[in-house]
Amino acid sequence: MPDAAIEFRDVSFAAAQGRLLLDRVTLSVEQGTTVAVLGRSGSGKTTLLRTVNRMIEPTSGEVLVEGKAAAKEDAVALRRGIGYVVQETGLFPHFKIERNVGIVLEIQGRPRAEIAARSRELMAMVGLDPAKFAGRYPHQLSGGQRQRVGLARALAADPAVLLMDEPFGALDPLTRAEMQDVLRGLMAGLRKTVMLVTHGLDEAMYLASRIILIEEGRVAADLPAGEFLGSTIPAVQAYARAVRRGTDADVPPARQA
Amino acid sequence: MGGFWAQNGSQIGILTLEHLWLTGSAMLIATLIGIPTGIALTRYPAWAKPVLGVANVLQTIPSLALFGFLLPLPWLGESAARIAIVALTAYALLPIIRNTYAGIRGIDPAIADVATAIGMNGFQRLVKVELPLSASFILAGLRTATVICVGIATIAAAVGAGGLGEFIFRGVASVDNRLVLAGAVPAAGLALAADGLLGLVERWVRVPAAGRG
Repeated sequence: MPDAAIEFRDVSFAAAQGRLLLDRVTLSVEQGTTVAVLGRSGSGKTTLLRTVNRMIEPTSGEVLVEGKAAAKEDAVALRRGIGYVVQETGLFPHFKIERNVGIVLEIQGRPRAEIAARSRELMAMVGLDPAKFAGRYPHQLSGGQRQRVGLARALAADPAVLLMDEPFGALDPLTRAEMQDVLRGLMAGLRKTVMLVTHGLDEAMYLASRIILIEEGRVAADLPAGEFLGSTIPAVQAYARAVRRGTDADVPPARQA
Repeated sequence: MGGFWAQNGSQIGILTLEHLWLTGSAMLIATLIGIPTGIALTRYPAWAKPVLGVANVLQTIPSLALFGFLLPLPWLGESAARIAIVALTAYALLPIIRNTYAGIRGIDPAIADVATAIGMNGFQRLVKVELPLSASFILAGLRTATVICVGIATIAAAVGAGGLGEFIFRGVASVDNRLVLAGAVPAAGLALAADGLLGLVERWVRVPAAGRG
């Protein structure tokens, strides 16, 4: 059994108004695997993700990253060691693409030549021709291209752990599928530990080896991806039914107006 | 008319320089106080209302009255230029603080959040993300403040601080419009020039396309 890269021990988080967003979550994410976190909006999945890089501090309980208690690490140093990808708003609009990719290295004070070489290497890795894209600004790119940049940035410092918060949520289905392929290809080669928050069951099934379903701040299910659809857990069945609506043969199509 | 300019040309030059000195010193001090204060307010937003309130009140004091209030103060009262610079600084503060604060607060919160999440410390976030993204806003504040200062500096002549106001006051006292214009036209020119120059800088630092949230 490989070691856990991320471990949640009895993690709770109460918002300022006292509402419990995470309720004694205990989980572990094994080294080198991709785990998808599913759940309704507001179920606490993003909150859970953000306790890993201390963007949110748990009210109680403990998060361990690579075996070390996150709360005892220096927050800035911890975050620099963790890749972070969000929906498309995450790029710096005033930086050219090359600098957007290299910023993680820049803030660590690495030599300029190293940053430039690494940025270009990463751009190529995510399928963006450096000669064409390095000098452009984010607004000159399509949504899918921007997301590739976001992915490249997250990989720049070669982190062992990658946090992804609905990374492809804003993309059209075809571009999303393309990006899923890019990510899957990269992850197969890089062996990163990935925690992926998503609404898409298809995305979770395609990318993750394990799926966690969060409901009202609690872990409702924690299953290997292959067993998710066959699960008898009511919360899982409800989720799967909601996602498959309109694609089941036994559902009559919407009446024409 | 030609004789008038020949007679007063060198004095217009001197008073223009004096005017520039008063305005420039006040703007420098106001910038050094205002921008850090605006930044500090974004870190401690609870202070924003009282601090902006005080700056606002300062700006509502009639300028002639403010110069008068400062006259009896020790050290300050000894030099008219000191009084003028302190008063002008007070007037320049509000637009600078307000625009710095509003500019940084107006940045897309998702961008500021990502800056922190990828491991920027507070200083890096400020220098690499917040200041560049709010630069055109901050400059717009400096621009407003400069124009206000150039205008109010003409009144500083009332307490003997010099500047182009000297001509205006002399012209008003002797009912000589040429003297009034000799002060007013260069003052207006200064304001326009400063406004235009800072406008250029503002355009130059503007973030490419839809950079703000």
